[in-house]
Amino acid sequence: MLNEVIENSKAPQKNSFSQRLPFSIEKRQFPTTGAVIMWSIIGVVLALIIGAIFLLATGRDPIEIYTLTFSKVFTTPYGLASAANKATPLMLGAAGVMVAAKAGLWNVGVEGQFLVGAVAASGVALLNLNVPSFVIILLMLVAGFLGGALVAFICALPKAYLKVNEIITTLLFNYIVVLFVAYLVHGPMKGAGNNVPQSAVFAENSWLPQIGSTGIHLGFIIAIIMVILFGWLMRKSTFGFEMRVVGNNPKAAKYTGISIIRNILLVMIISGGLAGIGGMMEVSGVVHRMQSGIFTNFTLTAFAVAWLARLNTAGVLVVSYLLAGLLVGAYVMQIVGMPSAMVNVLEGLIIMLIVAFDIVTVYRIKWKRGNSK
Amino acid sequence: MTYTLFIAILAGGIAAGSSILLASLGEILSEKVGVLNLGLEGIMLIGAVSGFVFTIITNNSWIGILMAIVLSAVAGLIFAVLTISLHGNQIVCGLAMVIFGTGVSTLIGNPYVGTPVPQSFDAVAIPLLSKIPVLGPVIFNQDVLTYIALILVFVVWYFLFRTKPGLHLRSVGESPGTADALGINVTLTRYIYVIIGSALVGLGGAQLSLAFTKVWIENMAAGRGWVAVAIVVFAGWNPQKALLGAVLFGIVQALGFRLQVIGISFPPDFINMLPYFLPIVVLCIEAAKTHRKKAAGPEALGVPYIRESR
Repeated sequence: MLNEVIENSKAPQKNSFSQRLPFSIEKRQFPTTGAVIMWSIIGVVLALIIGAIFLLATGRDPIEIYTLTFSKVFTTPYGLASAANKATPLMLGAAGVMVAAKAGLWNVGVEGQFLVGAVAASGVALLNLNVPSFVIILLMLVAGFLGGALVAFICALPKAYLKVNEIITTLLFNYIVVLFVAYLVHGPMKGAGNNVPQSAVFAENSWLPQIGSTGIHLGFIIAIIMVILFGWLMRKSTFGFEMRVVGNNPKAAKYTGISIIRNILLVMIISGGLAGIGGMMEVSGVVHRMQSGIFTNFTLTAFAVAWLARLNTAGVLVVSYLLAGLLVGAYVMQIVGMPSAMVNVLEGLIIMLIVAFDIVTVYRIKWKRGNSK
Repeated sequence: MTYTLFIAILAGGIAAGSSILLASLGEILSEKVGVLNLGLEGIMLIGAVSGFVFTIITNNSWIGILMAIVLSAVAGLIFAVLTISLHGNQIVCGLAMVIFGTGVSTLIGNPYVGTPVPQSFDAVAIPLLSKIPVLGPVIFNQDVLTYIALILVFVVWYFLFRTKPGLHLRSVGESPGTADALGINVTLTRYIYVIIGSALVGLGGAQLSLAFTKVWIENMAAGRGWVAVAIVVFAGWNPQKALLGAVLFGIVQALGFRLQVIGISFPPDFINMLPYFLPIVVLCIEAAKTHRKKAAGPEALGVPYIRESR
């Protein structure tokens, strides 16, 4: 419809409807940051309104739920700290999605990578090595990275060599890994004397230390630094430039001698490695043992963060914290009857609304001055 | 013993594969018209939960099926508006639909977890035909929705490759510009088949909750939507080959289940992984075979049609 208005405004015929309007609509080459942020906020508000209708329809009080969620999370020290801890693996997973997306790849297997990272780190922790704490944590970080990178690498091989769609391979691997973790915690990794399918609690020297008395673990800071570092790497370094060329214009990459296969494998290793470190931080900083379901729907949530942030580093940090807050809030609110699935509903709605508004952000309204015609 | 086990695995394979078959057929329609719908997993869940809940409310499984079709068509309509009219990125919109469908189905289905369905689709043996050895008990002793799925394979194939509207559908997917110049309404055609495709996906979801498991379980699609996407690629967008892929998936799943029943002491988690490994392996083999050849997919798949930017 907008296009018609524009067509008409270009058309020479007189007395057309659009010519009598006090403004005309023009298309911009790129949307401005202001417009993007404004429409994102409108999208979030609209999603909350639609979500409220869902809550009403299922017999719940949306205003009570929303205000309680907000006040329980964003006004109490405990809530703010829990959100920070929840945001830690989330921002790393989202950064994984972002790094891959910059190279034109859809890594929707961050859940599998996150879990294998967690398993590998748990493996190190459960060795009960007799070395200083920081050495163990460093080893766990490396193990987490390698674990996540391994899964992503396996999924990247068919993409690099056979052009098999990576969306399918990475996504199906989530299910494979979930089953693998279930096998581990029911069998080889199960803690001695445990009736529950989970590993033994890690020795305390493999826990990520807390920052002062805030209740936030050190992983939060490390994660922020890593996200900024890899965001910078993709934007400013030669390496990142090559990745982006591969993503945006594979032909150009080929002609300038950039190896597409090498870059696909490398970017997926980094992407999966980041998610794997997220898994390490969740087990080392929060859960302190390995078990199933340490972060349900991790892929979908990390994907939502990355896209709501428009693949922007600062955006990933902000959005992951806000969504983590929502997740923590939903967990608290289950008593009042807000299932945590509501967060998924809102995520889905927000992405769809923002996609819908994308078409508006590239247009601007130009007011006609005086009696121009 | 081996004969009955063999029959049980084949019949179970078809029953387990039928939801995926319906989803694949829906996706074939959508992709053939040029729209990549990755929201299958979410739409299947919407179909599964609405079919289940409305069956409980109305005590009539056919109304449940009807509502599953209607509501998943609505999901398809939303997807169509986003991707066709607003030119949204089809992959992002598809994943948003998965997130939304996962959430909304959990939200709606939450009070019904563990509730038995009052009226389900049980296996109906077709007289005479079910007496044929092997074929009879395998194909002609299934639930009604599976029969519908099997018939739809040929209906969709015939429609796509032997009728004029089917030709229009394919031309819109291959070259929307040309189709437009020939007077075919590209936008309308895409809307119609994306919505019908979604309805089929939702029907697949309803088969899952009303005929296959007969209970509502959170996230019960368990990756079947993604397997269906993989099967469409493996099948080269051909309904008959999609039938083969879906049954293969179903058999692997049924095999795992039977092996557990007869007490093979292999960790069940590893057997349960097979249905997810299979599509990856099959896709790799297929890709290796057709390497360096042109992909068989519709030319304009995933590309929004913007008339004025041609």
